[in-house]
Amino acid sequence: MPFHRVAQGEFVAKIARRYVVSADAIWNHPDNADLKARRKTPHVLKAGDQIWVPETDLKTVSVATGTLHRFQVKAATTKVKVRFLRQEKPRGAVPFTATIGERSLDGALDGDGVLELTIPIDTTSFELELRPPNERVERYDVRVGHLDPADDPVGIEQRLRHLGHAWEGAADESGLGPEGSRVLAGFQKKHGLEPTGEIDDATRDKLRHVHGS
Amino acid sequence: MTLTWIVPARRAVVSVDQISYRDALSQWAQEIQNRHEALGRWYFAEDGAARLHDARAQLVSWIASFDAPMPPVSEHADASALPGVPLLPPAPTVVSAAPESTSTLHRIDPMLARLWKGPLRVLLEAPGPSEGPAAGAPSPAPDPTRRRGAPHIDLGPLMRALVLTDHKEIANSDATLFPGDVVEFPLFKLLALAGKEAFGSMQFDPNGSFLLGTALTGEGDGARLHDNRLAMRFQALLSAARGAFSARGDTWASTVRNTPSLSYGGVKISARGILYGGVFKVPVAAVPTPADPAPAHGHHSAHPPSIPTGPQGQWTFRNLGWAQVERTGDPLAQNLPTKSGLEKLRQDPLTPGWSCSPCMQFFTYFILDLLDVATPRGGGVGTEIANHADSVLRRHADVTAFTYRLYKLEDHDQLREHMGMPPEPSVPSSPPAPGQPRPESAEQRIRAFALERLGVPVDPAATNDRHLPPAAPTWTVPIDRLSPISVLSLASHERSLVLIKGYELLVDEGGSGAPPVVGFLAAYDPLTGGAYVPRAPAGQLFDFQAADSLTRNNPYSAFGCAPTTFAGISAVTLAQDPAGGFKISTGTGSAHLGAVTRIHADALSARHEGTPDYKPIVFMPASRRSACTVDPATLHAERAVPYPTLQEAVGAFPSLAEAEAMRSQVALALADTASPAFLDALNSVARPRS
Repeated sequence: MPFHRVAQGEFVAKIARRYVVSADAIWNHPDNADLKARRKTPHVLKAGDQIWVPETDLKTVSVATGTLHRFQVKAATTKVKVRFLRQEKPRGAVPFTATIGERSLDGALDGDGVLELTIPIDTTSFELELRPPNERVERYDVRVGHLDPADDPVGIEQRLRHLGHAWEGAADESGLGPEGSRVLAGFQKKHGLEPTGEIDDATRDKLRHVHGS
Repeated sequence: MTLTWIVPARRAVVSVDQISYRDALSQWAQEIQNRHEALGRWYFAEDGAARLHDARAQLVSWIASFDAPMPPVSEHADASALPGVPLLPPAPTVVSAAPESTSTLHRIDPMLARLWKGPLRVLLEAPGPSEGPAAGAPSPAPDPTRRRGAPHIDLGPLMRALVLTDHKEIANSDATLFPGDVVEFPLFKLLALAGKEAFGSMQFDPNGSFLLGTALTGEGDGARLHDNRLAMRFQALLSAARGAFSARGDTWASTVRNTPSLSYGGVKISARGILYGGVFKVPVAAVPTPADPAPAHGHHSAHPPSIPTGPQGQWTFRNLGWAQVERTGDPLAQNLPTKSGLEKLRQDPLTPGWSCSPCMQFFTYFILDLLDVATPRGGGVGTEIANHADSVLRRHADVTAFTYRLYKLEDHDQLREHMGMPPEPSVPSSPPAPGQPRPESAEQRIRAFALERLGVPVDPAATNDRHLPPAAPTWTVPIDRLSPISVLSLASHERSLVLIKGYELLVDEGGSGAPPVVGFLAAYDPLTGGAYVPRAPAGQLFDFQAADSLTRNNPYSAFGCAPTTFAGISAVTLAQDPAGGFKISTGTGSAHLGAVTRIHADALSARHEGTPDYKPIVFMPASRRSACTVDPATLHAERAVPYPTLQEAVGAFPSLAEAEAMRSQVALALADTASPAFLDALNSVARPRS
């Protein structure tokens, strides 16, 4: 089995499903030790990552002829959890509608403003509508698995945006850019870090902690 | 940029083209970036830069997520047709599929901008001719010269729905702003986001006026936004003198020069001066006392009106209903010119030239604290000049008020009867024979009669029917001592020479020179939002001139008095010649003057160094009604420098109540010293019809 080049939106469980191997077999394979050390979690990979996929884990089952046999396959799913804040406070039990493909699901955020959905593992995106009372409907285009690692400038930018810190322009592999660095300095200042505007371990950890992933 | 910032990072007027709301918000974010250093210094003791950046980043994030466009009103509407590019395109939300972790999405409270509708929007939203006058609106008098109804302009796809909150904030992201709209962005929310919690209790006051400094509620406890009161005051002044606009291009265009105009749907919109103000009503003895009720229409009281000497009357500021609820359920925003207000302006002839009149001169100087009548500051040339000027102006003010009353009477014969004049001789309809003088018109004779009766000298060299000021004292002053606003009397026609300091100077604090503490005049055109004098060289004088107030043959004139017409602005140069005279030059010519008449020494540059010298804008009660929906006790004036004057401001400025006391002194002084002839004449004139 060759190395698999990770595409945007892919994560280990999704890759494992494609190649009919277990996610653990991929993530714990010695050839992926370096990737594992860099990415820290199998749920957040970066497009372009090279990941070794072991041979398909074939299971042998002996069956008698002339008999009907039933095999039950678990539907591969994953969970998505999003916490919604307004002015740094949980949104509360806001009603929502999630549209995944042709299926719609109605519900409400929990008391802490958290949306928790179990979705098919091959879901790449879904639409989400929040309907806060007496306010306009909020619409979100949610891309599953598209969150980049927090040690990457783009991943830093994505988390900052989620937390309500955005700027004109975009981060790239080389960094956040001057304006992005100023925004990062504001984040650092707000959270008691030295406002250097530089991406360091303390800032990454704080960002992961505040963002939740 | 489509927005002209009249208060840095806070308030702007939409300029030459319409703009989408999203782009306006983006321009605000850009403005904050541009003023970042100054805002940090004004509002943050330390670490302002990082905190402001963080707050701005949250603003930018919110703008990007501001809800998706609503379906356009017209199927042909296309949001992309509007100019400008949003700061950030809407971005998808990216999450990880991690059962044990959470992605956090944080949004701030909406950063909606407050809207004061501009003249163009008001016109567009006004009911069309087929819809008739709004319920409760006063019915205008029939006007046989009127050629068509109010303009009803269909902008089609550009006219998108406008959804306003209870605070008159624009709620829908696909709204379109029109030239002349004034928008105020929630800077207070941004500051609260940046950790200045004292600003968190502020809100937009839906009944507030940015001209009055009442745009917000909740100011106090050390939280106060920078503003530009001097510019407001100047706006009010110019508005009072010249403020008006007309959609009747067929009527007004011929008298408007150098004035930007726009044309939509074939109807020309001509801006005449600066909007959002009012007009001066009768400066002297305007309001009957309670014991002297107005007569029924068409009848005249047996007892002449008395001259009020109390707090009401005298100088009044009437705002045409632009700062108050004109009628219950008025769909138009408050603080706006309304259709009926415009009708009033058209129906109600102003005095013969509020701008070209001593009354305007007097009031200008009063507001600008150039008169020492009520607040003597000791001896010196300034006080002497002011007192002298006051006595001159007072006489003229009397005449103006008197002639105003004459103009209010529409019936010649009735007027003549009340004036005790002989019956009107028949006026030959044919032109005079060559060599024969043109006979005086009725109004000329009436005015001559009135002037003679009042004992006011008339300039015998006058060739037109303007009442002319008597010989005024003159002082020869060095050019470099001209005030930022100098009202000059040139050939019996007053012109306000205004030294405009560029807007950039206000925020260029570390630049070429000290920022102006006075004389900052953010004059902008109401319809285009553009500066009148962009990139003017330092020291450039501009001539704000109104004219044709007595133009004849104007279909809207009454007794020859037309509503004030804004003539234009032109750059002028004033040079002192070796003989001691002056040469004034404009783009179209020049004239030599023997002297320049000035009323006062240069007060704006010297006496306003300290903040206590400012007086508030004084809005006087008209018809025993508050002229504006504001608690007068809290109305203060501030200097134009946007911070850091909060600490200085506490207790430094006179309140309106204090100003009221001063004003009363002025009123009493006027009443006490008015000539008996004037009082007799005034009492003998029938009051104007209500």
